[in-house]
Amino acid sequence: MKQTRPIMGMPITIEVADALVRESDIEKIFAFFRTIDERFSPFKATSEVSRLNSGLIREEDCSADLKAILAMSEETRRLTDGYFDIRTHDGRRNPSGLVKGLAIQNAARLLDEAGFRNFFVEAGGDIQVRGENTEGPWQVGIRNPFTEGEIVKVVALKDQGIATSGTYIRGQHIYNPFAHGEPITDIVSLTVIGPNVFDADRFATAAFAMGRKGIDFIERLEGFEGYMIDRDGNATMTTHFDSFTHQPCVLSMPS
Amino acid sequence: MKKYLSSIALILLFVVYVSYRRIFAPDVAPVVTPSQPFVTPPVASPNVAGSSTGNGRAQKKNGGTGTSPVPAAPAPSVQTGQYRDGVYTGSSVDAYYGSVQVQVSVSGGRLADVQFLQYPSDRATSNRINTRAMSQLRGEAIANQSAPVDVVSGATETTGAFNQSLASALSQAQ
Repeated sequence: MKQTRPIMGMPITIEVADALVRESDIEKIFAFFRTIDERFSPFKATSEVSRLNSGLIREEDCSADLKAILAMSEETRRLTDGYFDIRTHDGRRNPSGLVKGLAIQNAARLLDEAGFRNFFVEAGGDIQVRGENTEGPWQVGIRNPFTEGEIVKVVALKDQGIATSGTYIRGQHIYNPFAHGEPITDIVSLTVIGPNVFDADRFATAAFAMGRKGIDFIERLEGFEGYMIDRDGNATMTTHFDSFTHQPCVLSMPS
Repeated sequence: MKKYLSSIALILLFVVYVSYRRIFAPDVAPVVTPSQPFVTPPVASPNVAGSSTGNGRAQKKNGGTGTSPVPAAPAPSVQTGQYRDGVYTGSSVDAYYGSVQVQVSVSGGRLADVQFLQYPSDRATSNRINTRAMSQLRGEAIANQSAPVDVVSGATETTGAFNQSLASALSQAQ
């Protein structure tokens, strides 16, 4: 069963391949995403993040979950040499870059706990995959950053998270407003596959901000593989990325 | 003889020390601690609007004013010669990772320039480019694939927010 809902300003899709799934099982997961959005969206005035940003609450008064998110943000900033930073130019905090991955991973955990073994949860192009569909490992495409509706790579995943960071409007010559006419970046898309979508997402975001050396950063991360596409349509992949792209060899029987 | 024995003992000691270092101090690799998922019980919140395009954030013009010419018509609604001359600011639109807000200049009835007043900040920090050769990495030219897939991984769309802000700026120029 496959369902899609627009939540958090993006389409969220859940597919469960297990036979016993009911629509209400999937609705519970969508409700979870809405709760996360209400609590942590910096674009909702009533969210805890907005109240922290506007000074209505102090950091020490935040919920345990938000404190954990802030601590994970700080840890991610440190692990990525400052390239991942939830502080915006005006000093506010926007943890969306972390919350999306966390929400997907926790949605997958809720499906685990409900007894499902074969599913994926996708939000805005980031995906946590579990088990298989009826035909084998889940087939995940990597979007062509230049052409909507096209894919440039297919990876077979069973229990991984995959996330892509990028800026597709770069192809239309849009420049970084903070750096006087500089292109936003030399690269347009960076996909990371890792043990879970939370880590894949935060490291994809940071690596993308590093520009060309982002793929080097992923190469050094144990357990993670990456696929980077530059503005000329050239891709660079980490050493073991192709372990996800090898298709099973189909032998035809002599007739 | 005693000197000879002590030399051998020293060498043996060194060998033991080196093996000890090899065994107990493996190469240091970047350590990624498994993330601790936060525990949030799924509380049902029925009928909550899913879209977060409502903009709870004060609109603030950013100091950065890099000129951003957009040569191709980026939105289908753009037609030449139909706008009043002037400078128009679009609404700030939630692109999830941040806000997108554009300002357009219309000259001679045509869209002359588009500037970004706001752009998601985690995309704006990427000026340092390292061109060092990366020996273990492999390259290829991308090519479209026709194989069927279950789901597609891609970046969160900022194009939609761009088009929305642009359309709102241009509607003021009508």
